[in-house]
Parts: sequence; structure tokens; C-alpha cells
Amino acid sequence: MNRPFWGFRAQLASLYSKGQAKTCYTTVVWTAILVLFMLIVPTYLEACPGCKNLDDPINKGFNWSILFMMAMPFTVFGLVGGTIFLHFNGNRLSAISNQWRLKVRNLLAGRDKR
Amino acid sequence: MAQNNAEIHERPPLSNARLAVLVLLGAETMLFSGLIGAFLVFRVGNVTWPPPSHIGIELPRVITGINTALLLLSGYTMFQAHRAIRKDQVQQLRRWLLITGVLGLLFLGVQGSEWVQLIRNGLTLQSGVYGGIFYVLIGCHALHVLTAVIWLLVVYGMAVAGRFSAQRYVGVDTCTIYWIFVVALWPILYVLVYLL
Repeated sequence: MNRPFWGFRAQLASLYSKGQAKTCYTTVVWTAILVLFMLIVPTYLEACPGCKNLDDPINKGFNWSILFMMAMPFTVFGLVGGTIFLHFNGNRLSAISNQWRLKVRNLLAGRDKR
Repeated sequence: MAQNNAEIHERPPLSNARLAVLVLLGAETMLFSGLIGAFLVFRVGNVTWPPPSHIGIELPRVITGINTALLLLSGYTMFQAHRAIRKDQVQQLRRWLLITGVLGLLFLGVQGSEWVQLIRNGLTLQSGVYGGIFYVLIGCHALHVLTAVIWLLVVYGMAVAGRFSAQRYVGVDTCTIYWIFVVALWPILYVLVYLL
């Protein structure tokens, strides 16, 4: 039977044999204390200002700030990535756009043979 | 031999220097977005802006508006400098670089005189959130303009020494990117800090 608890025990035993049992037990105890604390006082651990009441101007300010800063990495990567992409594919893209421009011009002039 | 020559003359589509400046600007953008984020918290978080303790202090909107126009003009002149070196017009490059540098220094001078006036009126870094965020945000940008002006002067010196040509102008290229970034950032800060 493959139960996670037994796997954990095996891991503990392995650590114990390596002389790291104390570190492992300390981690388990602290994790248990933290989880208990989170279960007992959930209100004090609310970390998301945008999830609170938006009637409060301060919360509204945090909300706008979070939204703005969330958008920035995408903007930066988009712009830098876009610039690099254009540098590497500029000639190919301009050739394609010239082809399409020619096609549209021919179509408008009624000279499209196809 | 012919293959070696081809390898020498073959340049990558994006030079390392240009890529480095792009990465630097990415980091700069994140720095300013953090500062703007902090400003938004204070600006939206306060029902009255400026806060009641700073009611009498008015930011010089009109003069800064004119200053904004100067900086935008410097963006245009820098663009012209870049265009000139691409056409191998070194004389034109020097002229446009000089004009850009003068405009940049003029912008910094007007900013400095504004700051002196504001400090005399009681708006200091320690006077509260309003003063703190104003000087940190605008000061950070002014520092960037100063860096850009120093960079521009170095590029101007290199242009005078005849180090640039239509085939070799990475220095002008990178400086132009940085300058355009500094110029493009300012209107956003102006609208946020002075007008909203």
C-alpha cells in the first residue's frame, strides 16, 4: 500500500540516518504551528488588499496600484520581446507586407488575374 | 578569404549593446512602475489631494507644461541626430546632439529652479507623504535626465572626435534609445503628479 504518510516517514527515517532528523522534525513542528495559527486567526493573515472592501479609499489605492504593477511585466516583456522579434524578422515582415500591399492595390485596380 | 570577409562584415540583427540597453530599460521601467504604484496608493488613497496639510502649496503646472514641451522637442532632435548618422551626415549629427544636450540641460535647470521655489514654499522631502512622493518620483526622473545628458555629452565628444559613421554608430544608437525612454516617461509623470 503506497500511502503518502508512510513515504514521509521513510523520508524522515532517511534523514535520521543521515543525521538530519532534528532539522526535519523542527520543520514539521514549525509548519504545524503556522498552519494552526492560520486556521485560528484567518483575519490577521489576509494579505490581499485588493480583496478587501473597495469603499475605503486606501484599499482602492492599493487595488489600482496592484493592477498597474501587474500590467507592467507584461508591458516590459512585450515591448522588449517585440523589439527583438522585429529586429530578427523585420526584413521578412516588410517583404510580406509589401506583397499584401501589392495584392490589395491590384485588387482595387481590378487587375487581379486569379 | 572571401568567407572570412563575409563573416567580418556580417552583423547580428540586434547588437549586444542595443540588447543590453533594452534590458536596462526593462529594469528602469520596473523601478518607475514601483514608484508610480506607490504614488497611486497615496493619490487614490487620499480623498483630498494635496493632503490638508499642504493645501496652500501649488505645483507649477504651466511652467512644467512648457518644460514638458522642451523635453519632447529634445526627443525630436535626438531622433534627427540618429537619422543624420544613418545618412552619414556627421556634421548634422553634431549639431543635433548639441541642440539635444542644451534642451536637456534647460529642462534640468527649469526643474531645479522649480524645486528651489517649492522648498521655499514649504514643500520638502520631510513635510509629509505629498512632498516625499513628489521629490522621490520627480527626482528619480531628473536623475535619469542628468545621466542621459552626461551620456549624450560623451557621445557628442566621440562625434567630435570622428568616431561615428553610417556603418558604425552603436554609441549614438544606444544613447538615442535611452534618451527616448527618458523623454517618453516624462509626460506620464507630468500627468500623474501635476495634473491629476
